[in-house]
Amino acid sequence: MRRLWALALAALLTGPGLERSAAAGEVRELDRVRAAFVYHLAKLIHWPAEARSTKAFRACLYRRDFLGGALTELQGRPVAGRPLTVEVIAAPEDAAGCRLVLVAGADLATWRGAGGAGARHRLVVADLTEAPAGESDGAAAVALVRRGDRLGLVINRRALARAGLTASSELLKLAHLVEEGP
Amino acid sequence: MTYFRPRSIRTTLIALLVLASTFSVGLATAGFLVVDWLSLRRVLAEQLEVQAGIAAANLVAALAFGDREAAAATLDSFAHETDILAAALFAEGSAEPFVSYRRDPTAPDLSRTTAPPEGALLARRPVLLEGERLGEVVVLSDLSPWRDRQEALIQTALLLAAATVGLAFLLAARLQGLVTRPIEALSATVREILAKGDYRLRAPKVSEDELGRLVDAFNAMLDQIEWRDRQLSAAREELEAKVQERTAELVELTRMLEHQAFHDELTGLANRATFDDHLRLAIHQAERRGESLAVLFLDLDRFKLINDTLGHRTGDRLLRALAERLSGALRESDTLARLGGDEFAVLLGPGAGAQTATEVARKLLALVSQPFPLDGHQLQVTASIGICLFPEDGRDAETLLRHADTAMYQAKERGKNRFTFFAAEMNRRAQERLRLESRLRQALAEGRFRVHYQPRLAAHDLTLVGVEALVRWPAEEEAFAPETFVPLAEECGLISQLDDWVLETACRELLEACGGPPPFRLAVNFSMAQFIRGDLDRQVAEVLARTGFPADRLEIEITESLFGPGDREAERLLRALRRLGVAISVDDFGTAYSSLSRLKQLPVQTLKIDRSFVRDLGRDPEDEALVRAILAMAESLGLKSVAEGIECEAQLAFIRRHGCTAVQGFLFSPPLPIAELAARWLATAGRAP
Repeated sequence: MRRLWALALAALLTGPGLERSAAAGEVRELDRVRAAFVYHLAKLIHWPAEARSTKAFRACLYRRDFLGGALTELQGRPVAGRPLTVEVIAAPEDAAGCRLVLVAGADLATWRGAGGAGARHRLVVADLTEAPAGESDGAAAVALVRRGDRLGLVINRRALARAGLTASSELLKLAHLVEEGP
Repeated sequence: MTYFRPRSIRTTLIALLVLASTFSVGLATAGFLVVDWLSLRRVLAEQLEVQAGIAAANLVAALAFGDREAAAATLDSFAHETDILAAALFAEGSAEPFVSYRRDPTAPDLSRTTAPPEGALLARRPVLLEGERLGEVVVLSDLSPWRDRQEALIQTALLLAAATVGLAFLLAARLQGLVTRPIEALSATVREILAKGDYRLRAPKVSEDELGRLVDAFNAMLDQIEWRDRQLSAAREELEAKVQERTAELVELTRMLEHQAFHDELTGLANRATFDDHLRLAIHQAERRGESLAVLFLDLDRFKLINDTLGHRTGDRLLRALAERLSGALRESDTLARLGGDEFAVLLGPGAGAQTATEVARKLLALVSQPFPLDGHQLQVTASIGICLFPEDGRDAETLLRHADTAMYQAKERGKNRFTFFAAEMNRRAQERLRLESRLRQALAEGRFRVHYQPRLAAHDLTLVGVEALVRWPAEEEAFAPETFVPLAEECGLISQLDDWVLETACRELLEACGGPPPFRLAVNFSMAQFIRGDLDRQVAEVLARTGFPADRLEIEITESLFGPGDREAERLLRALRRLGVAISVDDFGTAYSSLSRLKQLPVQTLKIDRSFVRDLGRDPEDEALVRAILAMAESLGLKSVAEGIECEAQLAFIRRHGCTAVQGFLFSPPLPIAELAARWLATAGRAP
């Protein structure tokens, strides 16, 4: 059942090309769904004007490409009117210039420990789909969580406000909203 | 029902107003409904598009994150919209709906390619995320509520339109009076005028609009008609008066024309037509009663002479006086008529025979012979009367009148101033006269006349001093004496032509016989008719010029008739002839009326003593005394004298003794043809024979 859902969602989000390569494996498909969630999430955030003035919209993966290159496949597609670029950063210090930093649930503590915190006009998204608790603990403004056989979003409005960003009403209607952290 | 009376302005006005209202309301209603139908449908379509658009906007995140629940919840919000039948959300590239909504089980399932069914609206809106198309929302709306609303609207509009038309009808029925009342008032005035013929009536003016102006114009027209009616009445009265006057004139004219038709204009006596009628009636009655009738034909003797010498006016006065005098002498039962000229006819009867006719004729002759005092003259005239009796001399009017005429001519031939009864013999003579006249014309046309010349000699030595040209008619079977054909030529109007011919022939023959101008005079007789022509002098001058005969060798012989007083024209012609050099002599002197003073005034050089006086010289002392007196008078007036008809020596001796200058007669020579004249006389011209 999960497989079918994932296949359908992938087809919905990425088109026929993605659908053909979907046959490569289940994990890979889930990565793609997650990548699509991140991609649509980025599009439903109201970015400030400076984000639209840069050459590209940089999405950074902390420490490793835990989506198996699924996000990289979306490079070049528009976000806030700019082409999406994807790169991997090793430390929070490397996050300068990244509009969106995607941190795997397992790396969240490291990110937090290394001083990774929300910067202004930077959206930190925690992928908690693999984590049992699924808590971002205020380190990320948005968390990608698993709800049963579905993916869901948790938005930390305080963290989001700290980053100087707002989410679209549509996003807010779908997401689970929390106000945690300092 | 009176509203629908045919062909009335009221009906027409109502019909027009109702029609106009119906048309306007109908057009407005139809326009409103059509506009409403179209605009509302467009609004519905736009509204559906908006609803689909809102749904699409609300479905972006649900579709982006594959949240069917959220998407279904969004579509389920269409349940509040009763018009929405169904809705569906399709992910991009997917034919199956991501989520769908149906109002009830009867609502159709929607697919990507669903076409809008009949009576429904379909809207498609894309689901876009930052310009990227995620899918599509399809919404199907039911139009039946809208249609129900439209039908209700139409019903309401139709009801309102019907009510408006009804109201318009009531208003029209009420308001048409504004137009028809003044017209009816005008019409009533016209009818009253027609009924009474009173053009003083005027139509009342009730408004200042076009009808008011129509009333003004109508009343102005009535002013004109009233004025013209008065004019017409005046003209009619004038015309009637003129008609009466003209009728009276016509009656009078008719009476005059009738009178003229049956009466002679100059004398007022019956005319020829009336006389003929009376005569026919009298014959008819006389035949029935076995009675006799008498017709008298009266003609003045020498009336032409009076006319020519004293003028036509005097002649006309004479005729009127004569008519009056004759009328007074006849009985009421007699008919006196003027037939024309100086011819009168008298019908005596009934029972008038030869005796009565004789008495009446004598009485009339006596009356005529009494002098007529006219223009200062005592005119002495005579008449000749022919008498014809019914039934002996003729049994019809035409014959009787013709025979009376013949008898009258006979009376003239017998010496005038007498009456003659018709005799059958007279008819033969009258016919003979006609035959002779015909031959006379023919002879003149064919040049059968000849000129003979009688020598005129000096009394003292009997030398040739002149010749008298005398016309002769040498016919093959019979000879006609000049005494016969010359008067006939005068009566027939041929005498001028005959005189001209004699003049020109004599001039030519003498010139030829003498080898030039003769050493003596040529005397040519000119009848009185020549002097009626105004151009006698020119005629004579032309003959002289044509022939080359010298004017001083020509002598024109005229008769005493020309001596009448007042004939200025004859005197003018004589003086004109004298100016040509032509000599004038008076022929047959002593036989007719003469005035010595007149003789003295006229340019006359010679007197010719009539042969009737010469004939009895030596036997009749009265004639001798007369001849002596004539010769003495001629001498005292300085005129030459010629004695005609000298037939014996005694006559010659008497003449010579009393100073006559020339003689002419058979004692010396009869009239001779030119050849004999030349042979016997021309050689001795100017010497004694």
